[in-house]
Amino acid sequence: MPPSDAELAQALRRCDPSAFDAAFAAYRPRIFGFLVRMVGARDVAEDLLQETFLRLARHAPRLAEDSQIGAWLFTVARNLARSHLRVPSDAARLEEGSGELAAPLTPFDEAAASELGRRLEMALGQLPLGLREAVLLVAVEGLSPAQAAGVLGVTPEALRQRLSRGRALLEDALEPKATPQRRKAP
Amino acid sequence: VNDRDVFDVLHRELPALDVDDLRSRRIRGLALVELARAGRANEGRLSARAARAWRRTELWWVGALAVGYLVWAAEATLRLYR
Repeated sequence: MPPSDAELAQALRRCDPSAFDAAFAAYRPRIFGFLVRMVGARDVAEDLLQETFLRLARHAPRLAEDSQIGAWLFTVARNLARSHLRVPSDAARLEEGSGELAAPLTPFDEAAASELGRRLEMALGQLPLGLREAVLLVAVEGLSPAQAAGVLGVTPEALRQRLSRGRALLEDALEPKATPQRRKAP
Repeated sequence: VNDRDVFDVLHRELPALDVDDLRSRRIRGLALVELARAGRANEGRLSARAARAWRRTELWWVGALAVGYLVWAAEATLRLYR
């Protein structure tokens, strides 16, 4: 049975390498997926993933005893992604929603991804950043609304509104488009 | 998608992403070095804190020891004359 977040936090405070390995194994794919879909570039997401876990290692002895490691990591990753996106060209593109794949796929991923998966990535990529991060944390990563609100630094009510708007935009984006009917020639 | 909740669909259908093995090992290696450094720095911080606490309270401890010794000596002397 994998250790709980509280057990991980206790062991990390003692700088136990096996606790770090457990946290790295449990959260690496989730944090990476979140980062790729936030910044829209795998190479940038890899750098931000590295920085996230380096910060965990540096901060380990000062973690609170009841730290939620998952929420802590998502908070750091989200702040790093946001800092990265302050670069004007990227920020403008992603705040508005790029309309491109949120996560550009490698040929291997491409083969593995279903058609539906690709459509979902596309729809996610069209969401404004503030809505996308809320949807990613709750719907994709399975954080509780309270945890996600803490990660985003918003009230639960504000999170609920973001989720509701995100859901509506996603449903719009995924709705099959009606083909325009041709007008008959007189 | 239409008759299923869109968040449920996202959760089930989005492809899982991960870094390649080489990069993963590199990040882990760098982080373990940082973790060991943080552990050493923390031990240093703890011993520095203990040294500071000792410096701040040293006079009180020595004073308390001296007073205790004087009380004991006075009691022992008085006991001889009772």
